[in-house]
Amino acid sequence: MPCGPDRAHSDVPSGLLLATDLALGAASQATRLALRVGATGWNASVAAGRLVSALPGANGAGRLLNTATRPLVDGGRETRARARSAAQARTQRLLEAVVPGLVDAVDIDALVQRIDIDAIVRRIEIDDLVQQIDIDQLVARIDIDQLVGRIDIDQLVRRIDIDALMQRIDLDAVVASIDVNRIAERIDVDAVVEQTELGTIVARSTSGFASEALDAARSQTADVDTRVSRAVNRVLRRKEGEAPVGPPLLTGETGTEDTASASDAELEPADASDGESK
Amino acid sequence: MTNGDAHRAIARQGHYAGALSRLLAYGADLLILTVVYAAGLALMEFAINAATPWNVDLKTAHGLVLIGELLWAAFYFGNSWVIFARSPGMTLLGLRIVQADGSPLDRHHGIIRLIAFPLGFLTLGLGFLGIIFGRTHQAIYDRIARTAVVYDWDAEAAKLRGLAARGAHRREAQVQAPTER
Repeated sequence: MPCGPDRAHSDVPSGLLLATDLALGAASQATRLALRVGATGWNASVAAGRLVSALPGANGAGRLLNTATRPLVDGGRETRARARSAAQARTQRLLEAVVPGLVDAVDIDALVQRIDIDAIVRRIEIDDLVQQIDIDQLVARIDIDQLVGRIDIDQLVRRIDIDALMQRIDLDAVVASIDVNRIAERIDVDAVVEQTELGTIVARSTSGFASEALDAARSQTADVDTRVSRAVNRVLRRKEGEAPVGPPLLTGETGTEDTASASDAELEPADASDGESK
Repeated sequence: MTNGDAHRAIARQGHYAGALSRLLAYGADLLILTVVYAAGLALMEFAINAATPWNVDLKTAHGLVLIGELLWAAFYFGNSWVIFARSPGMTLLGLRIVQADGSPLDRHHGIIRLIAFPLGFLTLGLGFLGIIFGRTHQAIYDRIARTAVVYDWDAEAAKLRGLAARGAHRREAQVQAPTER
C-alpha cells in the first residue's frame, strides 16, 4: 500500500497510521490464507464425498442422512428467505433516503456538458439507419387527409409574406415562358364578344342599325348570287367544279364554284342550328 | 345575321361577285350620280340665274345635259375606280375591282376599264351577259381590261358586330326580365 504521498496531506499521527496499515496488512494476509485453506478443504470434501458415495451402502446412508438433516435444511431456507426480504426492504429504504440527495447533488448541466454529442452522432451510421427504414410503409401509414385537415390554411396564408414572395418572382422570365400565341389561339373570340361587356362596347362603337342592315343585305345578296350561279350552271349543263370561285391570288388555289357551294352546304346545318331568324 | 350567315360571308370574300350584287351596286351608283348631277345642275342654274343677267333653263337643253351627265359619270366612275378600286355603289354592296389574277387594280387597268365600260351598253346589254353566264362573272369591259369584281367587305368585323349586338340584346333582356316579373 503506498503511503508516502498521503502522509504529507494527513493530520493523523504517523504512528497510528503505521499501526493501522500493519493491522490491515495482517488481516489481508490472513484472509488470503483462510480462503486458500477453505478452497483446499472444499476440494477435499468434494473428493471425499465422491469416494463415500462410491462405497457400498452409501445410498442408504445418504437417504438416512438426508432425512435426518431435512429439518435443518428447511429452517435454513426459511431463514435465508426472511433475510433476503429484510435486506431488500432495508435496501429500498436506504435508496429512498439516499438517492434524492444524490440526484440533487448531481449537476445535470455539467454532466450534459461533458457529453460529446458530436462524437456520439459521428458514431451513428446514418446511411445504414436510413436504409433500414421502409419509406413506403411509413408513408402508407400516414393519413394525409387527416394531416391536411389539421392544417389551418388561413393561418398558414397569413404567415406568408406575399410582397417578399412577389419580389422573388422573375416576372420577365415567367412572361417569356408563356406562349401567348397558343393562348390566343385557344380564346373563343366569338364567345368573348357575345358574352362579355366587350361585346357591348364593340356594338356601341361600331354597330348601328345601318351597318347591321348593310351586313345583312350584303350577305343575302351574295346568297342570291350563289343561287343564280347554281341555276345558270344547271341550265348550261356545266360540269360541277369547272368554274373558279375567284381570282387565284385571292382564293389561294384554283378553287371552284362547286367547292364554294359545298362549303355553303356545309354551313347550312350550322345556320339551322343557330335557331335564330335573320 | 346568324353565325351561319357570318361564316358564309367570311368564306365568300375574294370570290367573284354575282350578278345581283353588281346590278344593285350599279343601280346605287346610278342613283347617286343622278341625284348629285341633278342637284348640281339645279344649283348651277340657280346660281347663273341669280348672279348673272342671263336666264338659263337647263331643262330644255337635253343634249347638253346628257353630255354633261356622261362626262360626270366618266368622272365619277373613273375617279372612284382608279383611286379606290370601287365605286360608292360597290362600297355599299361590298364589292371591289381587282385585276384578273387578283392583284390590286392599277391606274392603267382602271382607265382601260373606264374606256371599255360603254361597250356593255353599246352591245345592247349583251356585254353584260358575261356577268351572269361567264365562269368568272366578267362583263365585256372586264375581259378587255382584264379585271374582275369580287366580294370584299369586312365580313369578320360584320360577324363580330352581329355577335356583339346579339349579346347586348340578350343581356338587356336578362336585365329587363326580373323587373317585368
